[in-house]
Amino acid sequence: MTTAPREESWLDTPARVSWRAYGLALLPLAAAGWLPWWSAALLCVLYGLAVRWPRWEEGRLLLSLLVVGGAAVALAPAALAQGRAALVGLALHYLALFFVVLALNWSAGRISDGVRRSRSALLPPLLIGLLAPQPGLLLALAGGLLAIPGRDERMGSRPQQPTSRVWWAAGAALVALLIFSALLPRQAVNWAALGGPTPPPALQTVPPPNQPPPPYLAQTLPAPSMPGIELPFQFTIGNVFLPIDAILLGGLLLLLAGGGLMLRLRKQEGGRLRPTELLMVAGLVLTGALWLAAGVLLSGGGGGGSAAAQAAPPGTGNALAQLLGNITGRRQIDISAVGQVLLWLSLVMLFALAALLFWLNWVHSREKVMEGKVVPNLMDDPTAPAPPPLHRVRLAYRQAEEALRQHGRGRMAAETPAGYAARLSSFDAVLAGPLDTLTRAYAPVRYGGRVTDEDAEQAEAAARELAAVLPDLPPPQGPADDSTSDHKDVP
Amino acid sequence: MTDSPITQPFARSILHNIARVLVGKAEVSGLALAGVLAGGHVLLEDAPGTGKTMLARALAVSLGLTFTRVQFTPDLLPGDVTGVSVYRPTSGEFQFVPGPIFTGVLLADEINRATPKTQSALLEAMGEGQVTESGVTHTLEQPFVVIATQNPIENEGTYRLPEAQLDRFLLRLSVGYPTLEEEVRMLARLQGQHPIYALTAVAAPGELLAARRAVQAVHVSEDLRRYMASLAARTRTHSAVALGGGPRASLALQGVAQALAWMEGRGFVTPDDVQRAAPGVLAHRLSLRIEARLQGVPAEDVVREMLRSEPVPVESGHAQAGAVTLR
Repeated sequence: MTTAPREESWLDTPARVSWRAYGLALLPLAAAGWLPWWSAALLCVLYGLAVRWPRWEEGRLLLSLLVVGGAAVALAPAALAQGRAALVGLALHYLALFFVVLALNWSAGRISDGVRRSRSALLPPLLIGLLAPQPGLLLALAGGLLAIPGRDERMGSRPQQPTSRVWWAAGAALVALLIFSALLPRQAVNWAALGGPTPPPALQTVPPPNQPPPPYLAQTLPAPSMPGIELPFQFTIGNVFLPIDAILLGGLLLLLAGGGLMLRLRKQEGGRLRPTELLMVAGLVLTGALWLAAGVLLSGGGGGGSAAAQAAPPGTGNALAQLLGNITGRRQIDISAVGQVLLWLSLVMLFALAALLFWLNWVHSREKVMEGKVVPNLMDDPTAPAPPPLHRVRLAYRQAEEALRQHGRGRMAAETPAGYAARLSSFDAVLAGPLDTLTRAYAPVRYGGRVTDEDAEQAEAAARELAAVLPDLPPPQGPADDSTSDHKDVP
Repeated sequence: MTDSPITQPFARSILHNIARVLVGKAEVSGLALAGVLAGGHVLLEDAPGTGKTMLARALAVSLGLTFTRVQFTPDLLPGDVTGVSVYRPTSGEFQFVPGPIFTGVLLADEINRATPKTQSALLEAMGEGQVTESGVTHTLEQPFVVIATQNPIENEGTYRLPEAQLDRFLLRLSVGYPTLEEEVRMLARLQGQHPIYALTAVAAPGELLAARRAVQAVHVSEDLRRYMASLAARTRTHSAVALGGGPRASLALQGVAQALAWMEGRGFVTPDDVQRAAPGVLAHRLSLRIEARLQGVPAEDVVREMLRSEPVPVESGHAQAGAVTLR
């Protein structure tokens, strides 16, 4: 099947960023203690590319997952040779890495957005680095600090996206699930026994040359016996809904998401996937597959099952598993009914999240169809949370500029906002009012002043007014003026 | 002046005062005042009789500074400007007699009629605010402003200002001929006694110093600094330019842009300020190639062409990708 080449998108245009922004490429070094050196280096390259190219930034998370998944796959043969304990350790390590990658990506996004209190975005890398300390952590923190944009370099067009609410809900559900899982009884699954018999020490303690032993290998070392921890109470549950089930479910969802993403990308204009998009799909699919594999391994797959796991003597396996296995409660509280309710609630929440995603997708598609353009009109989206006034004004201006450009009234690259407004107003008097309001609100925001909510509302109203009057305007007079990057003489 | 964007009271009163003498020259008066507010010196270049001297005098009087006019001639010596040490037989010592440069505003009229040696006598004073004579350095009072005029038409008996001297001037402005209506108004206004004699100061020297401090506090965004630096750098690589502006040009551009913003009551500089200031700040610092000079290309046009091709930092949506990302 032959397909037409896809239109060049702004995502393929290199971003104009300060050299300091490339400090973000050092951020993955915070996780260098968790990863083989080559995958940490790959992550650095990926983060560097994401600074320069919006297309790579779009796929940063999924591509990071691909790199981490690749690292796990590459380590699997060595772990397999060491026995099932090492394999289970690798599975646990991979699951931890998944969250490490999420946290790093979140931090990178916060830093590059230049939102207020950007320095707080360095906390996750710091925590990640402290859990597996190595000198790269200092470089990562220095790079992160360097990459924090100045007040004037902030991208005003990056307020919270409409989908951010979905991510908040998903995050809240995940946290709730984790808290709930922490309170679950240990009798159902003996974590300490999941590793099975401890392999001979000679096989476990040989780290790769010039490389500190990965945490998962360190965890498989025989740990000294730990005293049991007795909690005041512990829950017991009959019908078990364990994190392992969630892992399996998560793996399935990720696989489905990978398929969905593939279908959606193929539906786009041109139909041919770009290399980055292919890699993104691959990252999602590999992550789903690895989650499934980890879930199977952790649930005692391979014939052992939970029963075999429970039968294993306490005191074997990694230190964390041993600690968890030694937790007991003085009083047992049966929360089977609560567990059932939570299970159903989780499922309902999952479906609600899926429905919300579909709805947002539908709203977005409808906007695109109605406006015949790809510009996200966040301003009119009732579901979008109100971003700060500074962002609102810049976003309103950018959308107005984009709308004007699509109607053949684009700003010339060397034209100032005031000059642009004056030129358009001289041709179309109806544009004078809203453009003046918008420019007045925009200049202090963009060039160093302050702005209030009222200004932001006025700017948004002016942008809406512009969008409303533009379709009724005749084609622009004088020379074509839809170039934003190339110079044309001012008429 | 009703439609003037100048809202800062100090600047407004000065410009209003100048407008009593000079008809229809609000733009050049505003730029000249911006140059003074930015702590610089101004070179007024135009044909005879366009009001250069009048603008300089009106500005000096309005600012309330001491004012000295020196008519530059070929036989003028450096000591005639800076001052000389005179031997006093009674005390048996040399005593420094300050020259006309020890003033608030020095009007160097027809500066290009003096020899380069005399022109260069102003370098130290304009750059560092001091005069060195017989090994002794004398500090000039502050504020100290040089407003020079020159006629670009005549070549006979004139000496072109050297690049180093030109670079000391923050701005080079052209007053330009008035329009027909403006000239009619001017005739009516100047029918009797010239209003320059009735002009009084509307500010005190201390106010100018305070205004300069306020101008320095005007915010300049990082993007605009980059924009100004790019403009200055472009002057060094332009095909028509043999020698472009140095870092002093960027500093001058920033200072004048800050002053223009302050005069309009803004606490921040916009690209419009930069574009408005650029021709006056950059053009006289450019040394054009012989081809361009033979074609009669004015340096101001070269600067305007640069302004038309240098992208202005606005939003990053289309021209500068990297805005809304799917995250």
